[in-house]
Amino acid sequence: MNTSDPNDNLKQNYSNKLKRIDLSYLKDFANGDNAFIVEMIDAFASQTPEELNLISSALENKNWKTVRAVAHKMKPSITFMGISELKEVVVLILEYSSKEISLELIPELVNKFKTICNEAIKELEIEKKLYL
Amino acid sequence: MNCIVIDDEELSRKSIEHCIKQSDFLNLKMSFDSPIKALSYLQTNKIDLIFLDIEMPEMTGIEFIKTLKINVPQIILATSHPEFALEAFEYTVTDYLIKPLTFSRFFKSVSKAKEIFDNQQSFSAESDDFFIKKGTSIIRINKSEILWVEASGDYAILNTRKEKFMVHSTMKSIEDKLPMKDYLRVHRSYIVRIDKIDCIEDDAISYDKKLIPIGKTYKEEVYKRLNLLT
Repeated sequence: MNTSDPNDNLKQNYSNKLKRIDLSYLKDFANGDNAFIVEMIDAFASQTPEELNLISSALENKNWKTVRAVAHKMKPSITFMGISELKEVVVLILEYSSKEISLELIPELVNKFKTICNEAIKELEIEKKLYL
Repeated sequence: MNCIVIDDEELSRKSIEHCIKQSDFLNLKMSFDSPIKALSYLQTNKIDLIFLDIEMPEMTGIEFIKTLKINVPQIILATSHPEFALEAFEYTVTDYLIKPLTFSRFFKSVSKAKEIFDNQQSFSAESDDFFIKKGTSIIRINKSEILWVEASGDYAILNTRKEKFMVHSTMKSIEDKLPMKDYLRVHRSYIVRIDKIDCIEDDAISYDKKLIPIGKTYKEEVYKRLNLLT
């Protein structure tokens, strides 16, 4: 007998739409404190555009030290928002910018970084409503 | 335990704060996005534990530790670079946490800090020495050298055989710091060292050449404590 809650289906469909983020670590960490989840999402949504601007201008100026510093600083937020695709991108940006190797690959990586972050922010704005 | 968080990254800071709130023996006083701001805060505030990020732009966590000289609080480092942990061992840190954090690992760290804190607390009460300000210097005197203590307004005068020391303190707080198995509160304004009492006459203690009165409210307790052979 299968008496599944119709809401489960809705939730399932909804979750399937989330392509970039996975809040399971954040939810675990929050330990039932929904206000904390919202606070973390808000902090991510507000600081990320600034960081992205910073990394773009550092890239234009070929300031690899700043590129590296910004990418490093964003690591914790990427983990909390579960943006797994970005982990590898960040590792490469950190590696290339700190050793100043394969510098020609960095602009493409930073672009990818920005695109994924912006998509993640859109998903988070919707996801956040579940915890309000 | 009063603690502060120093981390330039907002989500890291919030996550540590979240863990602190779940640990009932921790009291979060402040959170700083820069170690420089924290340094000036520490000049006027007594903190027992610092959660410290390592890689920060203005000053690294390691550089921050090096600037701390006196009354150094316990430090728990939080870093996303496990390789920094090795360097951390060169400095006396209580523990280090690798980001991303988990509450269970966090709690293990702070429990260790709590244990050290509790040990230090009991040590300072049991310690044999006092540090006392005298003019511009701070000098150490052995507690056993104190013969009697006399209250004087907002001050307490500690009398040793050689000299007197005036400290800004209540009699109660002196009582808390002295080993009271060796001392006796005999009057609102006097504490005496039991084994230096010569004789008692008319409810006054003769102490070298000094007479110390026994207060009415303390009388019963005083005679009970003295090993009176009758």
